[in-house]
Amino acid sequence: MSPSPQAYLIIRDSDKLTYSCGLPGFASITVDLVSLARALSSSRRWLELEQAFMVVRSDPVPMLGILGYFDEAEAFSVRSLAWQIRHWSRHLLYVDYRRVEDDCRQLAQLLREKVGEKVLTETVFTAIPRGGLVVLGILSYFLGLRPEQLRPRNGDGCQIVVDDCSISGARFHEFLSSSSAEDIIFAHLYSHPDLRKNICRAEPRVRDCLAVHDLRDHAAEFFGPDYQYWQERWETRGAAYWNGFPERLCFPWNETDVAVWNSVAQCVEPGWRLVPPEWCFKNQPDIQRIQLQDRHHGSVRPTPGVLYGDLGEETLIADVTEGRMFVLDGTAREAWKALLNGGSSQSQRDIGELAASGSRPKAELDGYFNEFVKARLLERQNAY
Amino acid sequence: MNKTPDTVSKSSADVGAVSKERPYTTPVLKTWGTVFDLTRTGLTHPGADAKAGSVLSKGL
Repeated sequence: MSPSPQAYLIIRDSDKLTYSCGLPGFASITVDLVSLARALSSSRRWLELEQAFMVVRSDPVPMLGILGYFDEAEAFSVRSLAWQIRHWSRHLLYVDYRRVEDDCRQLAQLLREKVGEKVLTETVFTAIPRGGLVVLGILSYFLGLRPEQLRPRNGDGCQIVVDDCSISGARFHEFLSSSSAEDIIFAHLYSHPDLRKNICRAEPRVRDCLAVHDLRDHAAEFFGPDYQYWQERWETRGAAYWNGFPERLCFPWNETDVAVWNSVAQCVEPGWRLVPPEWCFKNQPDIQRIQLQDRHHGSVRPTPGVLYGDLGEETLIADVTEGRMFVLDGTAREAWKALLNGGSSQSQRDIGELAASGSRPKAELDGYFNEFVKARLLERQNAY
Repeated sequence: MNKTPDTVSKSSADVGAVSKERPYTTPVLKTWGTVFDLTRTGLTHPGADAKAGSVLSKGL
């Protein structure tokens, strides 16, 4: 673990973030910084960053930061958040419930055309957990499936495997590995045409691969001259059927995975989750490590560039304007808190209790205040 | 958590002295740590060797 603390400023000057793909028919989502922090905290990688917390400041300049102690691999994960937010905020396809219903209606029609009504009445349907279960439930009503068609069954005959989307095909590959079915149709709502082509080419058991909507691959434009090498690299990192960089799909139940190469740890790690739980209920937050730095109502407050919060027995302070960081503990930490609580008589008594008998708590508090002001970390409330 | 003694603010209260006339010393703040402003990365994509979807390896 690095012996010194680090602070990462993620968002500044904006109290909200809008996700939109710019495509007609897809909802845009606007989230405030607290919601964004909640989404980030649901990321698998965040759970591993145990010596870190997020802090959201709302006033006077909205900011979101991550402060803590990080080793190099962890720091890499946090740094990669910058492009992820920037990129996916412009390339997120949010598929709301209304759109899901419409997509399922189209999938039902597609199956009728490709498979035929008669075959559909005899076919067993199964879903790839968990998003596929939602889609299959809706699809079963549009197709008028009988309950026995949705029960697992061994034996011959065609089996239609349903999912909400397929990006790399990894989940479908896992399904095939555990299935003995010999005649399979893979039906889902979203995928890239090359993925479907590759699955049919690689899997003799798959009769057809159907999707309602085609995803577009942005890898060439995103990676530019590195595109070919990017493809070659990911071929060696456990590719399923297709490697690409399409829009990121988000359903009300799930935000699709992104695989990120951590060049420090030399391993693949999951990308950050960006959609808060009110839009995607899989992303349940870890609110214990989100700290809110609301407007201070006392006589002093942090200067506009300061983010601070508690980590264990310490208070970490980052001045993002001047790029400086401080760590307080013991009496210094209590003084910081007492001053931000208004410098009230109670606060002064708190300091007095901490100090040894016979000390001068008022002088202590004044001394700290002067030092914090001199360091441009605190200022009087009417200063701005 | 490791840290060096001169990186936190110090005051006489930290000493915990019991003498009646404890000398008062003004606390001194020293910087410690690093701040990274990720909002200034412009159009570059540091750490963006990524792809959509899951992978089959045990990395995820």
